[in-house]
Amino acid sequence: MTRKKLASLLLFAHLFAIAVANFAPMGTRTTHALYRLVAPYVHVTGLGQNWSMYQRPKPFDARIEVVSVHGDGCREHPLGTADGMPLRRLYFLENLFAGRPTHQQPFADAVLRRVEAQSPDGDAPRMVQISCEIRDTPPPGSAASIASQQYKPYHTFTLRGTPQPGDLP
Amino acid sequence: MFEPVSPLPLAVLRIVFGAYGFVYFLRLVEPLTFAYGDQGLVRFGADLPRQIQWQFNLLRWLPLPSDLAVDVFVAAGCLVAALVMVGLWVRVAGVVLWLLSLSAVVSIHSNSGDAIVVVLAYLLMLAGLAGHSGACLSLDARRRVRWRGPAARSNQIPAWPMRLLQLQLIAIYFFTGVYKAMNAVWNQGEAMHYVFAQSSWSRMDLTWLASYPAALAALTFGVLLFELLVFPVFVWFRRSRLAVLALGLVFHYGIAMTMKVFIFQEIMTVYYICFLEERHLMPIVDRLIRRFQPGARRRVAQNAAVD
Repeated sequence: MTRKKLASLLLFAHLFAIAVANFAPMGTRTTHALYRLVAPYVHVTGLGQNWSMYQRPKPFDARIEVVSVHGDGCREHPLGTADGMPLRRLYFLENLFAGRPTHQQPFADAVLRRVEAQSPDGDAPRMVQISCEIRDTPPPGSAASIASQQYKPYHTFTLRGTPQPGDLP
Repeated sequence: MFEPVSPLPLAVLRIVFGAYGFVYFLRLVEPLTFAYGDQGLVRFGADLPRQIQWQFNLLRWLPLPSDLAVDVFVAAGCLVAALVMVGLWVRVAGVVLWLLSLSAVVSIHSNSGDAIVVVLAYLLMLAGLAGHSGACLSLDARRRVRWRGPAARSNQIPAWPMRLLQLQLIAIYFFTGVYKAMNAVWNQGEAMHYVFAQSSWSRMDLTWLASYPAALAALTFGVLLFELLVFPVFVWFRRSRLAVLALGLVFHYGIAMTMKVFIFQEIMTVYYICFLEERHLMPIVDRLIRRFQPGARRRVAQNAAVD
């Protein structure tokens, strides 16, 4: 019986921690205080969860491109195009531009240097660049269609060289 | 929480999750090599893997960057997933599988599907440590019966492992719905308009749907209805359960057919097993046993007669 009571207590504590972890993104003072109580458990176990990530679809469409430009002007997509690259890689690259891209500079630099290092010997690219362009999504009911919106440069991480006319689309 | 239930659904979940874990770890070779391999981002100065307070991460102890270390890590993940699947040393294998999946998920740029893999690994580990997930359809159970006789067989387990899994799944849907409903684009029926405009993540051009705001609003409210009411409430009723699970599969695979989501629909399909009962699973298990092990069915029938 004691064993059952102890198990019940542990199960209740687990469910309480999960409930608190799920309410935490609401950001009230109570949820914050309670979350501090359960944080060690949900962090250690990997049960820390935040299901608020789908609440705000982006009001724009982002287009990510990794381009290396060689001395002869030849342009390549060394990590594949956005349509062809592994989805986890696209997800990683897209997140380089999430929030303030300057915070992601060290990761972007690592990607750029990796691309450069993987070029064949004697054919180091003149420039490697990860760029993000965005086009705004017109609100529903707007006269403008999504397709009529133009992509505009958002942010670019560049390794070496200065972009020259024709290097980028 | 402690009422006796059949061990079969939990055992089937363990087997399917083990099989999925095997494939999951194999598919981690690409992102792990991209970050931690000989030519990975770590070699070029990326400060990885991240250190998260209080969280175990085996990759922080491995000599990185190294293709070999990545391969060993993935091979270990595949091995313990296979052990969980066949039910051999379930207690230890469950703990190691949870630790490895936790390490992988914090070391790659993970998404919500990866988080569910860790949640499932953890909850199945608890069930395994208590001796319930390996109670049947496992090599451990077979060895137990061989050593200690038919009395060692567990025909019933307490319901709490399944209840924990079920409540966690409900929480995922319900809180996803709650946070969506708190946002204007969802409660005004406009969210799908923005979702379908994400060209990089769309499998097909669905921007033409913007001309049909009523259809987009119906889809948006349909998602909220499913997450806030249909799944969390109607999955508990036996009569509506299978229909709700089928609707959930349509929901997830509908998303997967139009958007480039990865992992999520797969792990949710695995997770749905926690809502199935012995009467749903027995015909399938029985057919598989008959097909792969003709003698076993006779033994199962004999054991049932003894019980």
